[in-house]
Amino acid sequence: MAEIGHYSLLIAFFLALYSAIASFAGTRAPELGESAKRAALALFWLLTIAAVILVYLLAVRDLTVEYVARYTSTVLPMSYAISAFWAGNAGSLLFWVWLLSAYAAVVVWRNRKSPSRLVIPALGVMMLIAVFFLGLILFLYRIDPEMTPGMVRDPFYATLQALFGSPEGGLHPACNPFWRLPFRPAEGLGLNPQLQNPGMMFHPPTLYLGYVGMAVPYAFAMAALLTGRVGNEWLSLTRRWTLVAWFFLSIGNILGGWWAYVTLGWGGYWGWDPVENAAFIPWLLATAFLHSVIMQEKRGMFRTWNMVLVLITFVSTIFGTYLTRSGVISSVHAFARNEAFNIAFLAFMAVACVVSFAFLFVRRDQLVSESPIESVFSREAAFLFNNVVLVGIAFVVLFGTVFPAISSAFTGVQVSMGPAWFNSVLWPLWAMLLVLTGVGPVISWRRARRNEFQRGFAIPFTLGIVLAAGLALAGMRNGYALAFFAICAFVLGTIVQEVLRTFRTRAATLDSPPARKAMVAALTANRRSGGYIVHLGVIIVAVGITGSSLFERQADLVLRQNEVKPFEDQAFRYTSFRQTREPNRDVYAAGVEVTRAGEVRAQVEVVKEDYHAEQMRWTKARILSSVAEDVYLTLAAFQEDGSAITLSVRRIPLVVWLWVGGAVLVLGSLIAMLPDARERVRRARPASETGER
Amino acid sequence: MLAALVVFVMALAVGAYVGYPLLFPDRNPQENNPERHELELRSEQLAGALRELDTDHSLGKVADDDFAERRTILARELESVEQRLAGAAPSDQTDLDELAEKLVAARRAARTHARPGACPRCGQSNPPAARFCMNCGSRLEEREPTS
Repeated sequence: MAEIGHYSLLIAFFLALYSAIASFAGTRAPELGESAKRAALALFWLLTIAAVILVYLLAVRDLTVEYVARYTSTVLPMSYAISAFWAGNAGSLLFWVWLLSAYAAVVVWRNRKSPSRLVIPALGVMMLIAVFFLGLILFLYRIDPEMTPGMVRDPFYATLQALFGSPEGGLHPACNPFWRLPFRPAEGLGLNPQLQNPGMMFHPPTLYLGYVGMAVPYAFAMAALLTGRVGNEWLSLTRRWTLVAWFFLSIGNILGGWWAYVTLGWGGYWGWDPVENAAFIPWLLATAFLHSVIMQEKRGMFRTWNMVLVLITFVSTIFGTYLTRSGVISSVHAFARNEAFNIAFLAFMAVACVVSFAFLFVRRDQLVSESPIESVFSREAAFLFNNVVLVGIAFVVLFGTVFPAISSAFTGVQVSMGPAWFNSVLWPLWAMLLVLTGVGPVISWRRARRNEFQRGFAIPFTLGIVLAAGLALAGMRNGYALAFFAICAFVLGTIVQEVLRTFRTRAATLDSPPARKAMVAALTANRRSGGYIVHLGVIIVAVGITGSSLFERQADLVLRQNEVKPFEDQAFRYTSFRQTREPNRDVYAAGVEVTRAGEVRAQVEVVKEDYHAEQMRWTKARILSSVAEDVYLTLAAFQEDGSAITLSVRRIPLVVWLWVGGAVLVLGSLIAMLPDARERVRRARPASETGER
Repeated sequence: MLAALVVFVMALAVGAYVGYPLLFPDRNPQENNPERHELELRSEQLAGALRELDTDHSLGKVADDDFAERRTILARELESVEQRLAGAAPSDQTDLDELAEKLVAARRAARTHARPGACPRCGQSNPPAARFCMNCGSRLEEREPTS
């Protein structure tokens, strides 16, 4: 089976190469273009076969396959064995390129009837990206001293061994998921227990869907640059694709935070870890792009900037994949250990950057803005500030992520940029961004008039001041918190005011029956309302982050059996202890009763687990959620006989709103993806009818 | 051995599927005119932009003069696109992008030549937002007759 998977990858590699060449030639010869499209579809089916085979091998735990033996074990539950698909480098790369081929297939399929002249060159760009990833899987090797040529049974590898093998050892593929070991190990290494969580089944795939999805707008932008058709066509072809990618990146980031919060047991959801940052940077850049697109569509401005944003967003997704997969940031020594992999990725990013910007330079004359920005107080300027702040945040995050690696490479000293650094640098930028979320949608185009400030901002501004004053009177003394809550109230005010005004004016101009007016008004401007809902989600997320990061309290309670200790207004009693053996782990669980004002609020078990195969100890959190605050309980330590435990109690206010806001944000982006009314009418009208007019 | 067979059949199938349009070019699907598709896309885009502009204007976010100017540009382009879609002007090989570029260039030229901030007394050109002439200090005309 593994051999079929391997050879389907090999066919896929040459197919992608052919499709790329045929696509670029296909702009002149239509048969070649048609053939390139078919090759892209065939690529998707071949990679699907390879992916299904890998899933099958993982499911049956064929331990003679190195990848299976490294990331699963015979006692690992089935769902996690399958999600081991994206646990390691080799599987992740296959997953990446499979998603890319799926996106390419959808692009071909969606444009089958009315092809734009950009589709085929864009397909070529996507195929080139696929060639890189497939090449990485198939042809990247490291010298393995333990390997001898005789150990290789596969004719393809045997040939390569004969050609490139060296006296120091045989060639071992660096990231091929179908590589067979010369023997069958008795047991696999198993999956890292941190990954044995439902989050593992959803978080990486959604994040990858987001990463890879950004390749589509990039491909169309490159196609526009290649063909010189740099008008608005590529934008309207890719806006929805960008939204799709953004939608998945948002889900991926939120799920990642939730996963960390629920399973990692340290009570936080975001640690400015390089891998988290790697997923966050493309999100920030894609957000900037989604905003600046509006400027080009409505005013013909920011045309070069839009190109630049798409290009750097794509490169940042590759960079994100690279950071996640190479482990180079957590330790620079990882670089030398996997040198070929690192060099290949860095070279790909460098080539992508250089080629993209070279084309951009060539086409610079066609990309001049229609008109300049006339006033600082205008919608145009607000969009510009929004973009500057978002890209600024992205660069701060990038700097904080790579600086430790760079400095330790040059000085040998590992400097760490912890959450404190990120928070202190970023909070003014967040505040500006939030204010702009309120100002941007309200302010006038070109230049704001004086009376408008009163009309547009008086009520929301008062709302913010009143809220801050109220909170201050209620005893809140934290300046940051007051400022952020006030800004949130201000933005909420602008959103509500805008939505009401839009509905009122739209309802007045519509000729639907009065009873349905509100509905029609809401449903015919999906893009606008989607945007407002996303902004609302951002505000709710901001409330959650402000509350949870500024007002967390923590205590460690040492409890004997049946002893009660209070923490603020709640009391905790240690009731029971249990130790059980499961096939892959030992479980130690302590029962805790939580009471408030004499009433029992909950009976929970806090758990520590020892994983055998992976030799790791794992702390699982128990969380009592409510609208106002989460009580986050972990078993910090325990006596083997269960006579005493140390219970760590964290009280984290408002954190639930982070997840609620995230859901609202995701919902908003879904609504923004729906076609608007006129578009639906046009789609429904048959082509013949339009031709007869 | 079985694996080799499967791989061989797979390669054959892929080759046949991908090579088909090259071997039988006359059986390829007749492509719709791509230009037509582009025009449809552009008209959709322009209609959307017009609708958005109207909404923004009705919400008081676009000044009347700006609204009139933008609306004329968009409506003119939409009209020409719709005409070309209806086949009134037979494909005269002018690319749509080129057309757009021309419009943009014309607008830019209009901006520089009309010299919006030209002083009525001395003729000095001033930045668009200026209220008084930077050369002689005389009052420039209010160019914004809106509320």
